[in-house]
Amino acid sequence: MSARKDRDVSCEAMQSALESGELAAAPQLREHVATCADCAAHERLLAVLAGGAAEPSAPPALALVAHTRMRASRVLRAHAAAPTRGLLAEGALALAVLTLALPLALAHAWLVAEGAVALLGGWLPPLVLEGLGVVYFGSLALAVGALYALLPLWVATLRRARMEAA
Amino acid sequence: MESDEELMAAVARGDERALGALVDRHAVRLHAHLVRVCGSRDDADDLLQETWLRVARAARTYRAGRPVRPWLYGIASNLANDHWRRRAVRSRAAATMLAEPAPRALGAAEGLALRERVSRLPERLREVVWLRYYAGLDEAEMAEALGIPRGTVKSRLHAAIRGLQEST
Repeated sequence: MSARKDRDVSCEAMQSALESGELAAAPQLREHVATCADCAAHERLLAVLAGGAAEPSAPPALALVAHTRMRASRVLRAHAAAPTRGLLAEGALALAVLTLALPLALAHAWLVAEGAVALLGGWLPPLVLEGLGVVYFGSLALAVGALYALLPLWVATLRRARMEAA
Repeated sequence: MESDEELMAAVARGDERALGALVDRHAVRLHAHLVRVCGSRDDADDLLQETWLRVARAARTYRAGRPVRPWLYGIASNLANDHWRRRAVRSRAAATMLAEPAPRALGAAEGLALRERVSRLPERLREVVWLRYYAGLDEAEMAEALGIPRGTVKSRLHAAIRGLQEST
């Protein structure tokens, strides 16, 4: 049982060495392969794979290569021209969203704060109201900051999706 | 002579001459690889063109200094995988392949039968065999092409060879 296990481990190592090609000519490896049917079959399989790959193949037609070159150049040209325009448009859009969103967010915050003071002013002591204000404006600032930080990501995602679709 | 990486950096800047030079430099070997992978010259012709179109489309995203050959063969292998998936949907892959004229790249019956077995391997194992034995990439290049660690390349290659032996 143990001998069988040792042999399996040894075969595993030998076959890995054969695959990496690093030890193909090592005497120890050659000796093992000569006495082990599994490893010999493994080596034979690798030789057939490598042999198939080494067989010469007729080169592609010159017209095909020329056509490929031409088509690829055309695509490169199209893609070289488009991104700058796209980036400008997407940048302008992001800027417009930023410009519009900030006054809206500030106006909304001001309304909420004024409303809260009007509603709760008579009920709560000023210290509690101030505390609530700090919590509210703090969380609002965090949310707006996070949204603004996501904008470049959003533009990048849009661009990537468009490039991959293309 | 400019290296592949220098040429690709120029392509990323929109240099069509550099792209032409890369196509000329790699077309023959890439085509031979695709013939071996597809088993058909017509399919290899299509995939050769599609590979370079993808390179042109992705040129702007090329990271300077990234080895070009693994990247190129990685693209070709992805396309070949798509090709095999479509082919498997249309018909039984092996039957279709055997019905085709014997490819020049693997003339021997043993080689042909082996290629059929390779085509039946799971996709992630099949592509390591393609890249190692058909494209001649080393482990580091395969890791780069597939975006996986070298150790994973080794273990997949080993599993692929095991799978091929067991399918004998």
